[in-house]
Amino acid sequence: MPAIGFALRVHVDGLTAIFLLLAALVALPASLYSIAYMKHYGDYGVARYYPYFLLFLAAMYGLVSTTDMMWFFFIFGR
Amino acid sequence: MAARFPQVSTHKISLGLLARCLEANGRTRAWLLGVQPESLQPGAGLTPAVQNTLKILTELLGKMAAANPAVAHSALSERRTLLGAPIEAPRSAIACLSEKAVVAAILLCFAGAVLTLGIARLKTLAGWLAFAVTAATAGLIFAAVGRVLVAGPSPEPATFWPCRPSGSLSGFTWTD
Repeated sequence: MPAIGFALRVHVDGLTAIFLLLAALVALPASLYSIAYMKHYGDYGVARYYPYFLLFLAAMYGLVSTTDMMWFFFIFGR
Repeated sequence: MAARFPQVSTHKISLGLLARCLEANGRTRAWLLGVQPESLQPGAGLTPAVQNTLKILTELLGKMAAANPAVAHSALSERRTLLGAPIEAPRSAIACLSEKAVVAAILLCFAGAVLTLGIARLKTLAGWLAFAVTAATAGLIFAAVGRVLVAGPSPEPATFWPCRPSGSLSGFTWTD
C-alpha cells in the first residue's frame, strides 16, 4: 500500500450522469417553489433552510459522483 | 476452446464464447495463455518467478510482432473493430471536464450556502439567491451529463486535493 490517504476522486459515467440529472432536475423546481412556500413560515427558523438546502444539494452531487470510500462516508454521514 | 468452455453465464462472458467471437472472422485463432501466481498474499506484488515469466512472454510477443508487422497491425485493427472505438493515447485533462463541472457545482453550492447564510434575514432575497445558485449548478450538471452522454465518460476518475498521511493538502492533480 503506497500511502494511506484519500482524495476527492470524482468520476461521471452513464449511471452517475442519470442520477446527477435527476438531482438537478428535482432541485431546480424545489428551490423555486420554496421561495413562496417559506414565506408562510416566517416565524420558524427558516434562515437556515437555504444554506442547508444548498449543502444537501452539494452532498447529492458528491455522493453519486465520488469514487473514494472516505469521501463517500464523509458525505453520507453529513 | 469453445468445446472446453461452452457455458454461457448471465454475469460474464465465458472464455469459449469469447474465443468463438474472436474467431468468427475466420482469420483469427484464439489461444488461452495462463500464468499461475506463486503467491496471493496481499501487497506481495509479483514474485520473481512470475516477473521472469512475464519478461519472457513480453520478449516473445515482441519478437513475433517484429517478425510480422502486418499481423500485428491486423490484430490492432481487429481490436479496434471489436471494441468499436479507436485505441488512442490517454486523454488529456480535457477529458475530465465532466468531473471538473461536478466539482465546480459542489463548490458553487458551498459558496451559495455561505452567502445565503449571510443574508438569511432577507428571506426572499436569500431564496432567489439559492434559486440562482441551484440553476447555475444545474447548468453545470447538464453540461457534464451532456458531455458524458455524447462523448462518453472519462477513462479514469479525476482526483482533487489528495490528502496524504501527513494531512497536507496540495492543489489539483490528475490521474491521467
